[in-house]
Amino acid sequence: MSVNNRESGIATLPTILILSAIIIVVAVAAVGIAASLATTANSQRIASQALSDAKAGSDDAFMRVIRYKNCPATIGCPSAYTLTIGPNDVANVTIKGSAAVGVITITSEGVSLGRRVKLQTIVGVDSTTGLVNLESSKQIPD
Amino acid sequence: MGRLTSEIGRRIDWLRNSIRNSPSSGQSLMEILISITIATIVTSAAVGALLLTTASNSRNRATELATQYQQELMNNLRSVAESNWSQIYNLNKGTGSMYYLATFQQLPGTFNVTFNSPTITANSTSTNFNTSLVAATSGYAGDNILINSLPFTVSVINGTSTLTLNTSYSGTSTTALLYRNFSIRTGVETITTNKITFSRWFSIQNIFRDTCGTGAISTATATACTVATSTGNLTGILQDPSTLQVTVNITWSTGQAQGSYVVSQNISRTSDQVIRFNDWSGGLIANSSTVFTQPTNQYSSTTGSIVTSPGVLQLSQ
Repeated sequence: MSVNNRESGIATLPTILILSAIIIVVAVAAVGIAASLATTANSQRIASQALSDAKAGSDDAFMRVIRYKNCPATIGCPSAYTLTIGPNDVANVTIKGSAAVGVITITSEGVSLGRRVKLQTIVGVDSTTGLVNLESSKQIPD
Repeated sequence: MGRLTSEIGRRIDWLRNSIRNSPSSGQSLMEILISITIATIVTSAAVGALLLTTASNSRNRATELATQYQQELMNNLRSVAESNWSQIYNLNKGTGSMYYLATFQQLPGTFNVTFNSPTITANSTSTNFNTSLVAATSGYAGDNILINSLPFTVSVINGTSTLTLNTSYSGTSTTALLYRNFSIRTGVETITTNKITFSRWFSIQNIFRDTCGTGAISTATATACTVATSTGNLTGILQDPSTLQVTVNITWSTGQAQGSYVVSQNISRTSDQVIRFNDWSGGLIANSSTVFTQPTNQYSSTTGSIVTSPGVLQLSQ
């Protein structure tokens, strides 16, 4: 008889423990999902910033090609340089080709808080007039 | 029936006696108290975690939208810079000058325009110039609009269906189409999405470069531009009129929390145009100070450096 009494008395505690475990698992999962979403949102923002940095670097190099017909050259239009955009943002730019060939390739790698996005821009250059035209611009693997 | 009642009474008595006489009868109360305590702690923690999760999700959503709005504005500003650099370059500089961009939009209905008249009237009652356009003020030239592809600005809005252009229209139409072109307005734009209110604006700053404004970007104070006579190398830090720093600001309020997002980017003028002259048959003109404002086959000749200032290219003596 006393055994039956004990069994009926201890039924509440295991039930509460099991329910508590379930609630904890659900709560931890919810917090984990929220943290993951926060990371995703922040990552998206940084990636967007890196892409903007890459565009800024590409535009900067494009403008130098317009200004310096003999680009890349030592003065004014180096073949590789870093454009500082902000405290956490830079664009690493390389310029290859020449007006004599008629095509210049600009590669701009935007870096924001460690996230990197690389753009490749092809510009056509008229070796006589110096007229510069955008031929193509695309994102390439880093 | 009597036997059943008697049996139930007997079992209740037995249960009372069992509980009273059991050595673990007090344990049930302790277990219930412990269970209630555990349940309270766990439930409180879980509710707190879920509230935190809800708030975090709200912040994430706001951050995502803010990122989208920042990208949208930055891309539109690049488009404006590409198509009409002076529209951005001529704005007041500094973070205290706040602007926002009214985007391209077709106004509903058709419009009446009369030859040599600056007045436009709407045919549709659904048109409301007061809500879709902004007229000129002391610091603003008015929204840019296109009427049958011709560009104008809005001088005065005379009512919901009548406005005055900056210049007269050069034709007559009773079915003209009217578009609001990209227009940079002073002030702050308010966007409400998913019960989140965003405030968005941008400001611009000048950029300085070494090599007399053509080399690497510099944060140093501007200096005079000098040319080395032996090498021709340029030295000095000058403002670059073809690059601007654009700062986009976004703040938001979800009702429970506020946030902000500030992004700065460089925008450069990348359009390039070349005019090539190969006909100089007009010959040398005697007065070398003649100003050419349009292509000609004449020329003047001098020696020395080329001196430039905004809108002027001069051969100095």
